[in-house]
Amino acid sequence: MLQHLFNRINRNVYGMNRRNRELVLTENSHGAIDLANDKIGTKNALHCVGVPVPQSIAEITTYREIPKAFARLVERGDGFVMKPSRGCQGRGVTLFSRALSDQVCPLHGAPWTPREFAYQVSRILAGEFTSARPVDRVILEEKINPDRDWIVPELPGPPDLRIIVYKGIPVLCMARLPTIASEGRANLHKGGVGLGIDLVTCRSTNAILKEKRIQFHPDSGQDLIGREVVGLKDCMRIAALCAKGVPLGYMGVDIIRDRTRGPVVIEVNARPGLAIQLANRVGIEAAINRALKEIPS
Amino acid sequence: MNTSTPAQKVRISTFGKLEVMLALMICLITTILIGYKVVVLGYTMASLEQEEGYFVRLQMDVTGNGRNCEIKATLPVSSDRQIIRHEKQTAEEFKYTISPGRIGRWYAENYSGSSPIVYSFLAQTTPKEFRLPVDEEIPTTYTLRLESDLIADDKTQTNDPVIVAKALELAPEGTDLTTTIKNIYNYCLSDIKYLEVKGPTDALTALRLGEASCNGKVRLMIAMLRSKNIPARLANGLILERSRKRTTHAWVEVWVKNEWIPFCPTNDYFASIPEKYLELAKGDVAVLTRSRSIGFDWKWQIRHQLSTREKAVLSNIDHPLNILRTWMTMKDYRVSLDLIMIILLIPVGATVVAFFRNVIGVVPFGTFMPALVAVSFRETGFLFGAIMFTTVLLVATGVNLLLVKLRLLHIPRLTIIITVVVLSILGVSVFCIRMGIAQGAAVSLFPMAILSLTSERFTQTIMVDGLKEAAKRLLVTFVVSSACYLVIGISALQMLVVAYPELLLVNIAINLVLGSWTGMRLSELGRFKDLPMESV
Repeated sequence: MLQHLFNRINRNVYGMNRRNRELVLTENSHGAIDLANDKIGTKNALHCVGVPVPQSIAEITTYREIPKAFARLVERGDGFVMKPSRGCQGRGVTLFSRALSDQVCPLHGAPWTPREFAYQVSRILAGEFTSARPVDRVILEEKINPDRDWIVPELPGPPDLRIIVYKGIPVLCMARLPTIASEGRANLHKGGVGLGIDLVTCRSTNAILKEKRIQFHPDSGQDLIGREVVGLKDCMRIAALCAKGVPLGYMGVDIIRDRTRGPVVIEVNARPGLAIQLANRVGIEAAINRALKEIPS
Repeated sequence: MNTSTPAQKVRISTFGKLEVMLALMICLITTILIGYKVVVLGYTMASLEQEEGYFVRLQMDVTGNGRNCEIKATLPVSSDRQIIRHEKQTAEEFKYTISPGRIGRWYAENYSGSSPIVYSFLAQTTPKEFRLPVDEEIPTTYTLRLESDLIADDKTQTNDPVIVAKALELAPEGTDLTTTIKNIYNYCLSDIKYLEVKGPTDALTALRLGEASCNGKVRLMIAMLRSKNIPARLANGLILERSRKRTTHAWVEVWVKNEWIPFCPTNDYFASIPEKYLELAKGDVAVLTRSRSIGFDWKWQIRHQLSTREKAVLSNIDHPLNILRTWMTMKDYRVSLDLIMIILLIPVGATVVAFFRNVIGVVPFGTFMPALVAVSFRETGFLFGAIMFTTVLLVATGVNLLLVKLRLLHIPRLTIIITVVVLSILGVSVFCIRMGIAQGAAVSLFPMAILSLTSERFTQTIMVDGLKEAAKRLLVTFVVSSACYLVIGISALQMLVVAYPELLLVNIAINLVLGSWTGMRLSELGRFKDLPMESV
């Protein structure tokens, strides 16, 4: 009776407490977590081991560097992304289509004056979007040209792939699809769709929206089950490589597919969320055991 | 759903073995420490019941002149409305006796030294109200026992024509008992102005001047009542309020239908006695009397005593392991026991927060904010504190939402927020005091820096996740805060922690176990309930 009850509760699924203690605190060193939280450091580390990452345009550490960085953006003329190096949950990230000498055009909304641009940079530098650290750095990097139709056609924004890597082995994979409700972003808690991907067949097995099972995309009505993820094996190889650059025993690797460059790692996460278990309808414990069994063969 | 196969390992223990062992060891050590203190050092545990009352201390400084020296004091008597407990006296060079009539007597032969006599007790009083009979005639005869309460004396000139005439004017022949008392009382209350004078005033002087201190008003009232053949006497006592004073207070007791009923024509208590009156002596006698020609000074010291928490520490003051005695004995540092207790309870509150976060799985604003909020609610009361907290938070958040539009840099913006928080706390506090809400003054203990950061988090949550989510988390914060408040409000727990601060080691043990628990949080149970079982 007690066992039965316990099975109901436990079922190889990781809750927050178990994830934090047995995965994050056991497998991830402080240094590695700190590195993963710093996008500039992560990018350099990943670049060194040959992981494809978005190209940096400039990094800003002090206010003095703002004019120089701005000049480079104008000179380059192309679209770019501005991010806090230690931000979380996409806070403080702005996408721009281009920079002119008298105005900067964000992807959404009215153009900014260079002053407004400098103000946003200084907000990031002052640590407004950064938890735990009083100051931050700013990354300006190329805006990649994402493949919107990578997994499912007719999406309102680009999808990304989240791969959980345990001790250097990819164990779970989930595609995150934006919806109109999520305003084109792929975050699940914003209303994005989570798609469980089988690592062997490279096809989607199950889909969730707001943690509930669905079969069709809420906007386009496209069937979400059985979709093939093109180049998943490549992505898995890249994800495994990430563990060499950022030595985390348990990590989430976020990959976007660039139309020309192919898979690009945009972020690694030292404490990836637990909804991936729902998307795949399998507990992390079971997934790890399954993946470990397959390795020798 | 798959049923579990027999081969499947089921994790029953979701606690870390090492941590549980460590926790048990810590509990054992704590038990040994406390056991040692109780058994070997003879620690006493002060009683848990709250002993509320007034601690009254009479100090008399006596300087002898070589002759016999005697001091007498009328001591308080326990009655149905006042309880006298923990009576103590210290007088090194005097013999102390109590007469059956509760007169304390300190006596020394051929005394020429100089030393203090200290007499103290704890008084627990209750207010009492009496009913006066309707249409009752003034009795014509009384038992012999009341004779002395009907005749004149040198300060109560009952037979003086002026007083008799005034009494007759206030209550003509045939007026019933209650109306007579009422009219005379009202005259002494309203027509005789209160004037602070030192020393006794007699009845006639009070009437002639039209103003008197309490004892003058009282003697006039007694004199007029006696002239109407109503027995009345002077009652002497202390007003219980935090003070150091030499003066006692006088009021009247009137014999109505076989009982003495109190009246205070100074502070307007008609046929009632308030909680703060402590009865010491009956009849027009001095509370303190002494031999002539000795140096004598005295002082009543009164303070309100809420509980015996201090005793929990003080009763064990000589024990070397009592770490709190360092604070208690060094009064210069001005650390109150209450503050120490609050500090000791913060970790307990933090445990409650940890339980909510890791076992129940709800996330309030700030890490230990609810524990600190709960501590500040101890001063203000929960409901009032909650209203106050919300008000300040909303004001600060409103300002913050405006400031975000101004594009100010982060830290200066937060500095403005903390300024707004301080100003609104000040404003609310002043407003409450003006409105006569006493708790308003205690608001100064609100954790201001934390309130500012909460306001910042609240603002961010509104901007990122919307008002609904922010309101939800605010509600969670209040629920967790009130849970903390309930736990740290347990008086038994307060006493225990103050008497045995090593109990905080158990707090560490609890969190060792809590921190090693990897089970599902309650809030997660529903989240994963549909996932299929899978054999491993």
